[in-house]
Amino acid sequence: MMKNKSLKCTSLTGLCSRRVLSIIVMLFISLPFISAKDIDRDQAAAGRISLNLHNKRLDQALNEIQRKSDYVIFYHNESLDTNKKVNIRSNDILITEALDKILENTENTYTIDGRQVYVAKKESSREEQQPIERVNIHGIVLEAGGEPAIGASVTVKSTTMGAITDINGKFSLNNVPKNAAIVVSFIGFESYEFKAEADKEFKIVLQEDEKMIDEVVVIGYGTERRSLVTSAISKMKVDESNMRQTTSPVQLLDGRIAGVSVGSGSGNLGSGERISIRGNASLNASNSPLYVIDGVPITDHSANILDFGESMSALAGLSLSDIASMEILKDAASAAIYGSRATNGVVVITTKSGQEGKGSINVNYTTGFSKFPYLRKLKVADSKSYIAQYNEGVDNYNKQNGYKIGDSNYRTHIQNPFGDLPDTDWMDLITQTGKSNAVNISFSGGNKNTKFYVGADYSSQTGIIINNKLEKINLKAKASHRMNSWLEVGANASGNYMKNNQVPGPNAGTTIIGRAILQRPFARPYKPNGDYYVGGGDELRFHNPMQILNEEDVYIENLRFLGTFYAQFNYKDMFTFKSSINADMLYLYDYTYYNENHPYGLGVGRLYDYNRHLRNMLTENVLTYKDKFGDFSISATAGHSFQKITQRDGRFEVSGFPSPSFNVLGVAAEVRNYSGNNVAYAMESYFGRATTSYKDRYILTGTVRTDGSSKFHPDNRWGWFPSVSMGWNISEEDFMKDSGVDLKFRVSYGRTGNQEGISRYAYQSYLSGGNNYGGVSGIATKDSDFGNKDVSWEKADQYDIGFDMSLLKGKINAMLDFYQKNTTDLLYEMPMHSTTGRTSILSNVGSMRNRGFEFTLNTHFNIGKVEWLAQFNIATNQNKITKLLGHKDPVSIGGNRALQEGKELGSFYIFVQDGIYQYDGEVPAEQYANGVRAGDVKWRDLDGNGIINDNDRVVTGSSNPDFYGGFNNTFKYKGFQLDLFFTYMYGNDVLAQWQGDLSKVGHTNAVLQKYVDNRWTGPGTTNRYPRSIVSYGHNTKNSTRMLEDGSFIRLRSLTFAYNVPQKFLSKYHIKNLRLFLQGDNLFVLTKYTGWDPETNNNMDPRFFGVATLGVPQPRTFSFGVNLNF
Amino acid sequence: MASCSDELNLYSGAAIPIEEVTEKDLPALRIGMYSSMQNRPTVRGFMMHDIVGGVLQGNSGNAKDLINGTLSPLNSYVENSWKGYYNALYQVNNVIAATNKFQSDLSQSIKGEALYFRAYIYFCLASRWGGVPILEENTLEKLPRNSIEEVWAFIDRDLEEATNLLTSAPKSYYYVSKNAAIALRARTSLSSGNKRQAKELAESLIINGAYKLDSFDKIFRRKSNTEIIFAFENLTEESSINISDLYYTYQHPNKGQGVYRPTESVINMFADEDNRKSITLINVEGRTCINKYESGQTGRDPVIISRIAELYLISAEAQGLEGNGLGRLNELRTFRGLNPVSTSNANEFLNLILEERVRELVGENFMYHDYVRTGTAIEKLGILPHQVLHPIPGKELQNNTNLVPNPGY
Repeated sequence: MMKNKSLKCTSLTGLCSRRVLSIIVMLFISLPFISAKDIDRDQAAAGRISLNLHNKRLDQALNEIQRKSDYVIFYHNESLDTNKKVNIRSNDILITEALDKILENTENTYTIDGRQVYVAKKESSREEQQPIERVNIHGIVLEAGGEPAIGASVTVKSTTMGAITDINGKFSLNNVPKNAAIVVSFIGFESYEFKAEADKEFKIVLQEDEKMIDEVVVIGYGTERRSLVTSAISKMKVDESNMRQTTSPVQLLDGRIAGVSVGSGSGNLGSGERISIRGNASLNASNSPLYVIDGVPITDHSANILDFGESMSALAGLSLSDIASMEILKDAASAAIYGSRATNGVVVITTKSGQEGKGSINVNYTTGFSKFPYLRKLKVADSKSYIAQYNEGVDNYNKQNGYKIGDSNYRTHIQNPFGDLPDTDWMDLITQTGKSNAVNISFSGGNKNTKFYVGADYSSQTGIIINNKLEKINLKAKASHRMNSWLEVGANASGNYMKNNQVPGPNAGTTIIGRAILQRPFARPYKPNGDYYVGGGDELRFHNPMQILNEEDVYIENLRFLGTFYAQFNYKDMFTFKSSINADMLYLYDYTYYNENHPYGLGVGRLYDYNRHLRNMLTENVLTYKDKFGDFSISATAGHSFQKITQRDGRFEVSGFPSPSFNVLGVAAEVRNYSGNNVAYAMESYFGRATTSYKDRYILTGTVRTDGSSKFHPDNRWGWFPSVSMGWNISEEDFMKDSGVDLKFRVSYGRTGNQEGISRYAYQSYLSGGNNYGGVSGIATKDSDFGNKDVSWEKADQYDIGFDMSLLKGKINAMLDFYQKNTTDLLYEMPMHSTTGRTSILSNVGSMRNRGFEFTLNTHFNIGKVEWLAQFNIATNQNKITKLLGHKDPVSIGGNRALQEGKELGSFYIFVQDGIYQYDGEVPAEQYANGVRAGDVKWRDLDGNGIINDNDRVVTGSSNPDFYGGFNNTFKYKGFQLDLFFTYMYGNDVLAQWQGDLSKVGHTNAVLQKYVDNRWTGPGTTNRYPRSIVSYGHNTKNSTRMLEDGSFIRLRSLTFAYNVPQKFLSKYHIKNLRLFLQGDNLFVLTKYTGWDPETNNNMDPRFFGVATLGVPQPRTFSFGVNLNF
Repeated sequence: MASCSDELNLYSGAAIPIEEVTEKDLPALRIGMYSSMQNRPTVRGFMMHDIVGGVLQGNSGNAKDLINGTLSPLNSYVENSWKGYYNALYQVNNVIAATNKFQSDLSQSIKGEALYFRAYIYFCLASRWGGVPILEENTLEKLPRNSIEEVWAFIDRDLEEATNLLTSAPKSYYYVSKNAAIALRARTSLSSGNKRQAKELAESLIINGAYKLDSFDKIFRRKSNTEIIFAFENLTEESSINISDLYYTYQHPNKGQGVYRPTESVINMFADEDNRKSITLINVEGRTCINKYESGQTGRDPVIISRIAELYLISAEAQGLEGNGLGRLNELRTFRGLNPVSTSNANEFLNLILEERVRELVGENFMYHDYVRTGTAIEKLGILPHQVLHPIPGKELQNNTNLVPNPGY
């Protein structure tokens, strides 16, 4: 086995070598063509082309010239001389020469206007016809908003005679028959018709086509017209109006798409996010969707290596401005083509490409600032009331234990050690106004054969906690070229860099808010001589937050290369074969330096120097076929892919630096710890899809995929994931033609799989090295080394029924989906009894069900002169664990959660507060013996044994919402646009665990004023807030008292934009100038008593919905400019 | 299209499959066993008898509050040490199974070490939870509990066999020796009530001359000494066991979280002339910390399992007033700078022994079990009758329905 291993590792890229070879061969074959075509392009630019025509008709010859050059040729078919056969052969000929030659001895002649060629009958021949009065017309075409419509076509009806509007929207047409109908058409707008008249400056304002445009939707391994889509796919087109200043691109999805919920960790820069599509379908396997960027399934790896108290976003390093659209493949029918990784849905991100036509330059600049919202919402008691309640707790303690002065256990009162000095505002010390700047420039363009996009971004942000800072650089280049009729090649590459200066998150020992707000109000950060008070002593209870922030240097760096290189072979518009190499290279560096003055600095300085290299290589070969037989059209796709992800780690923990100025690995005196590893997993897949449709009315699509994963034993390695879906475009039926209504009915079933999130060698049992003793290496079995060779794919069967509707000629659009997803063979770390030597074993046990519905409504109406566009979406999802370990008892996980058959994933497992004991006599003897007295919490004693323990917890509440969604309103008036975007969630519970410490009256940390003011002081005073008592922990269990309603409505963003009118811009050759002001997170309406109901200390759906002292999402104000040349 | 299926066979470069172990791997397995024994019980596994032994308190609350807070089926420290011992046992039983396959001298001596460790694990388990499931070999079965008597007998048998197998002297006291097995057996004999055997074994070590009482600043400061019989070396880069971190505070130059501090009554037990005082306790900016482990967060310190002073105390207790108990006790006291004591009352003598054990062994994971095995726990610690045993962790009861919980929890 060991021998095998070393042999296998020799392939150059770690990829399947035969695949690589075939692609290299193909690229090699293509090389000569590249050079030949380059010549072509240079020629075209100079108005020269090469032509090789043999016995062609005139129209064929003209088309060939148009294809090879940058010229657009207009002609009337009937006016061409049909008898003429063209023969021409030249490698280097001027356009004019070519035209002269092919029109030689014909009735036709031509004129050239810029890049437009008009072919008409010769004057002499026209004279033979009846004279028609001809006019020259000119004018301007504008979009509804007043911007010029660039590239709109203006044609004489029923002819090919026409022009294209220039960058100012202007056009002119000469020699048009008077009163001829002129048609203006532009994608996305209703076409406009007018009569040709002389001496008139036409001003045409196009109205947007409100009928749902048959947009093109990106599906797995291809695209599809919306009307042929039979599965649940939602699309978010990213543009200026829905752009927000987030760090991670996928946060833009927040509230935009029904059934997609975006959870966040904290408001620290680059903090982790959690995208959940149609609920959560897994336990130990991943619950994150698969992210596919321009066809490459990327590695979903958090940005950090060392846990600094919160998870960090995997995608924060990517550029926002390069994104053109995001498609969410929600149901199994759409996602199953991605087979084994599609159970949680797929997020398909498509980046911008160059468009055919004149080049475009975009420059965007945004600057802004951010604040800690609702900072004063948590009010802690001041010194005076703090000391009073503490001393009351001391008295209660001494009294109930009968301790007298002089007893060793007697507790004494405290006093303010700083006399009358004002209290410290700890939160003010650690917070700041964050600032942000972002600039982005992109160049794009192309012609029929070649398209390119080049973009560069730079952004820097500071957080609302001092020292928090994030910088990002994103570079992007994308190009494609048609070498000839049968070969297209392309490349798409981006380089991304991110540096994030972190501050300790809520789960770190130095949790920055916890180490500030929990300090007793009289405590101070600095001694009179300027030294720090060091936390952990009697003067300062917790780590000094200023010492933490000032004496550490902590950052993560991400370098990420995403690249695709492909060659596509076409045959007769029917077959294409695309072969590609794709790479996602991620280099992570995690630097944590505590200098000698930091509490963790050991007095000599300590450095954690971690790095990780993730190499995700994918080769893909896809064959497509498209054809039409009468009213039937058929398309089919078949492909193979091989993906291998290797991860190499190197970690050092060192100490001993001469002074804080020395801060690199090599200086350290001592290696305290080190580790390094190199691991890999791979997956091979075959997949196919076939779609057939009859008159676009009835559509049937089937997909199948099979995946083999290295994580599973060869016997259980391969999984099959089929899907079938049907669509009926009811409005295409004759009885509904011209009703102004579009209606489609969809139904689908599919099976997907999951293997993400489990160990790479899940099926293998091991003895691991690194179990060393006395400087000698040893081998032993770690808990994670127990393999299970029976483990295999987790499977999900999903059913979806949907309707797409469009009413009032598209003024109202609606989309409705019902679904049910049944997960079986759940990958689950099944708890084991410890005598087996392990604590759990990864197994396929249990099943889970998610069902729900989604509804999206888009409307477009005018209120007077104001255009009003609204988008509303709502979704529900009900989760239920239908089977787990075969018993109905709760399985406790973490400190406050449980999995239980019949309950939902996300349930809490906590104590119930049944009030406060008002009299000592009510206290059960068992608790009385442990010091419980009147004024203490009466926990529900489920088993009635008098003792409050594990068994008295109940499974209650849930972090899953009843429903959630978003609501966007756009108002347009002249050049002004106002966007109001709300997100909302209802019925989600939050376990406000931060209240645990802040509610402890009579303890050595700050307490909420509310708990001090309302504390129990005698029978009848309160049935909710416990008495003050030092030492005892009875009153602060994870309980229903901390379980709060996290429902909210958030004004996610408010954007006010102004498009500067064209008349001011045209002389500067500016196509578009947009100025905007944006406020993000302006308010949150909620009953939740913390800062932000969307702050979570764990992104795992099993543990989601617990709030510790995390930084809330900031409130951000920004100003920006979008400029387009 | 050709398949790449072979490329799906991937293996770790940091591990070997269990079925590929050969005799050549025995030394590495042995080292892995030491590593597991040192790390798996978790840091509080080496502190639990102090944490619930009335000698420590937390930052808020007294010793009794700490005991009540810890002794809960929910408590993660209780749960993690339970898991840790059984995980370590899994490694030990693997080694024993491997040594049974290969009959070399090396194999036999490794088996001796493994048997010592198995006995040590069962001592830790029995002194906390009472009768626990005995696994002579690894199994997936859901075993019921054995009686406490069966556990003591099992321990004694393993230690007897270990004593016979361990012949050659190890390269240092960081490895298990014949004497280590004898020392542990003396302790477990006392626990199981076999005072005669406890005395004989303890005396054999005191008399044989290999070990002598030595000063604390050598024992606890990594200097060469004549006291230690067996300790885990606990090298910084190989260990997650940092006891010092939980005792020192951030005011101490070496830094620590300062989770536990000695109680006032422990501090008051140290007279100024007691030459153990300055190594046992240290005052850090007004707060007294346990000082037996010196590294704080800057490193790790050896964890002593057996040293000769304990054998003096075992012998003294086992002999009692009828034998030379008082003599052995006073030998130790005198060496530590204290005056001899004298009594003719058995209870008073036991009290003197227990107090001396606090002074000598505080911070070395003894006190709770000392009070429990001498029947003084309820009175000395002020605990409830059921608290003389730890609660079986709640999750374990859920996963193994054949286990009976300890009453009262």
